[in-house]
Amino acid sequence: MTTRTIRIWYLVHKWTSLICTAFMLMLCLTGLPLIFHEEIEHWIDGDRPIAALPADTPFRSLDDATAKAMAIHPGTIPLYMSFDIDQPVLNVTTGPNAAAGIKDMVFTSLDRRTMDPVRSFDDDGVMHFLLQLHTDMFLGLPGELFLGCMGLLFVIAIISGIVVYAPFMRRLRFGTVRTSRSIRATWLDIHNLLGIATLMWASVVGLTGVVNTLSTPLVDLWRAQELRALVAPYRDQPVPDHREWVSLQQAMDTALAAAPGSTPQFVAFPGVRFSSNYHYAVWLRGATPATELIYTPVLIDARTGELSAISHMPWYMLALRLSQPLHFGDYGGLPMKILWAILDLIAIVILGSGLYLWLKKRGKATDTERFLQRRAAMLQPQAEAAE
Amino acid sequence: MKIDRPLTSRQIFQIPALLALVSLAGLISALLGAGWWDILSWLTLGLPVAAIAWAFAARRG
Repeated sequence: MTTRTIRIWYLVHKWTSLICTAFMLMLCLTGLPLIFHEEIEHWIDGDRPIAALPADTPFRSLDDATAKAMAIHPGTIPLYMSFDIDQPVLNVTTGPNAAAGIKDMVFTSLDRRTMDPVRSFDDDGVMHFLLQLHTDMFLGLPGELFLGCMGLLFVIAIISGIVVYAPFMRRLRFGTVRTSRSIRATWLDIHNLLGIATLMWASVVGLTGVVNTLSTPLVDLWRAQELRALVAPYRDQPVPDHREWVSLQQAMDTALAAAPGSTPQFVAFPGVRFSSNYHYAVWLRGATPATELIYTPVLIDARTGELSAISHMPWYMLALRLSQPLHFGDYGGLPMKILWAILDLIAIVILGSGLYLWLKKRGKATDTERFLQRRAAMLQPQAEAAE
Repeated sequence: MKIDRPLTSRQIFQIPALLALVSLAGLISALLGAGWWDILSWLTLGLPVAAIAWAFAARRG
């Protein structure tokens, strides 16, 4: 590599890092408690009490659940229903209409055996605040996409960092931390060591974070692409009112019969983003560890209860789905969360030391350039000969 | 810990490439299953952390 290309890569590393560092520091700091959100919420709120009933107590009909949720919150219609994995609890999201934003939605958690309300998730707590800050800085979709751009710069900073790592390491063995020279040399070595050792984790968390910021446009794309053919026959029909919908339990039974071996993850009611205007979308989850991350949307005609289609997740929806665990680090038990936290702390040190190195060097840019030129000019012929 | 002959790119990136591949295997393994797959992911994701700890302990120049 010539001096010039090294210099260009160095400038790429410097500027992409400088632009995204403040936001990445915010993301690393808010992300740290979010890794343990389940543990922290459990610690704040304690166990969710569930009535002790015989293990074989049957579940009530899903239609009882929607009726109950609408009775608790009059004037709302059901939008989503999700099913807990570890407790016999389902959660009904209702709102004034199918287009309701998250602020107008209300959540009702019900015991599936008794239809008694149980405590819902706390949506105003400190963890929710951190999640909002981490996701979009309270700016909605523009904030989300902006953070996606910052994530992209972060990934470019990692790639360019790998390139400029080489000229610094021509005479240092992996992992060397020079403590006998300047403080700056020590921090440069720490920055290089931490950065190069954790680059894969940082790249994956960065890239999956970028994919997660695209969730709104990707779901819109799915609606436009996959659902368009499905809803074409309904074009001239009015959108069914919720009083015209067939029984949800019947729709669920039809969906489960069509995809044996799967379990329901959530139901999207007619009109919401994860369904069409004319269908219940029953999102099923595979039963094996390898398939439980993959959802299959089964579309049931909301007026007739007939199966319209077993759809599939296109590649971009699958990428979005897989990006969630790979970003959150919540798919390998508590030891993985602890490792995630350690790696997050390491990322904070990389960001902080990078900023320190830049501040120390400012005004002395010629020193750096001279160093890089000297390195490249002096070592390049030998290095090439050795390779 | 100075080196007389400059290292080649291959020598420089040997350990980092290994750490990157092992980390990637760990990130994927826990997606594939629970139990042993999770334990594999803890060991592999722990390797870069262990490498850093080792460098701080043993590679002070």
